[in-house]
Amino acid sequence: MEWTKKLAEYQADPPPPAWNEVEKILQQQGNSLYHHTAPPPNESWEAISTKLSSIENSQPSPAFNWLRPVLRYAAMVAFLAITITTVVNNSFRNALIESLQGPGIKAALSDTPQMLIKDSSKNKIQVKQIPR
Amino acid sequence: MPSNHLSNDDDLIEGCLLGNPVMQRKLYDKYAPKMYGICLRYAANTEDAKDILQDGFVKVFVNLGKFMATGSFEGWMRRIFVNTAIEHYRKKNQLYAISENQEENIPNQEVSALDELEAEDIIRLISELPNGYRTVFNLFAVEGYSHKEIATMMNISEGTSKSQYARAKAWLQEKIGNRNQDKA
Repeated sequence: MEWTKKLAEYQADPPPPAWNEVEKILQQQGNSLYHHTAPPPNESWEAISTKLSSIENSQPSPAFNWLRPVLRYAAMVAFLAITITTVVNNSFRNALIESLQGPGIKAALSDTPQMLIKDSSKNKIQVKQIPR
Repeated sequence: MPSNHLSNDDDLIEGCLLGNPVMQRKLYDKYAPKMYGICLRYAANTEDAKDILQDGFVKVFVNLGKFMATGSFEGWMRRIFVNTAIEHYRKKNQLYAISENQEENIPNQEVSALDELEAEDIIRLISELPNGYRTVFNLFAVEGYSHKEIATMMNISEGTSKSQYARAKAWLQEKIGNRNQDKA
């Protein structure tokens, strides 16, 4: 690294000492450095003002601040209603299908003599055809 | 148009919190020269100083509601500008670290007093420092923060802060030495 090299050179052959001078000046003028002022560029205020305007415009008007929680609450209620309706509808539909297409109905409607066997391990009812 | 009348801080803050652009401008006019002075000390060039000034003032106006009136308003603003300057260079640069050993070996010898260096000269020299060195130098030598505080502010180790400061000293010493040689 360039600075490591420079530092090594510096340590091998120190330049005329000057740091104490800086420290002395910092002691004498540290306060003026701390409070140093400079006239800001003329165009800075325009830029700051423009940035502030764009930030203000991107935020909703305070008059509508009440609307945000109301909308959030309404959205939550609507979501819950849709979810519950869907779940209830699906359960009802599944139950209906199961009752119509279940093995018992199928066996009853079949011409082949069949026997229902309950498989307790799988908690299912299986249909076994009985040879004529 | 810059206003000649500079109100007191409480009135300015209240006006700015209400979004009054006249009060915002007055607050800017009152503090911009001081804050630009800080920006120049932390920046490598006037373009960077301008960017820091703009970002700093936007932060001041946006966060004005968070100012607790228990401390000095100028001190609060100053911290915002210092932090903005640190962020500015954190985005741009990596700090160069040297070992503690190297820091200890940097000589600190007696010197002949040259009283010709003014604050302006020092600021010009400071602005020429590499970014990491300049920030640490400003925070330690001018603002008076400890290396521990600087480490926290800049998200670096205390040792790195010390080494950056040591390097800044060596750099300035060399520059002033060269400057004196040129004059002689």
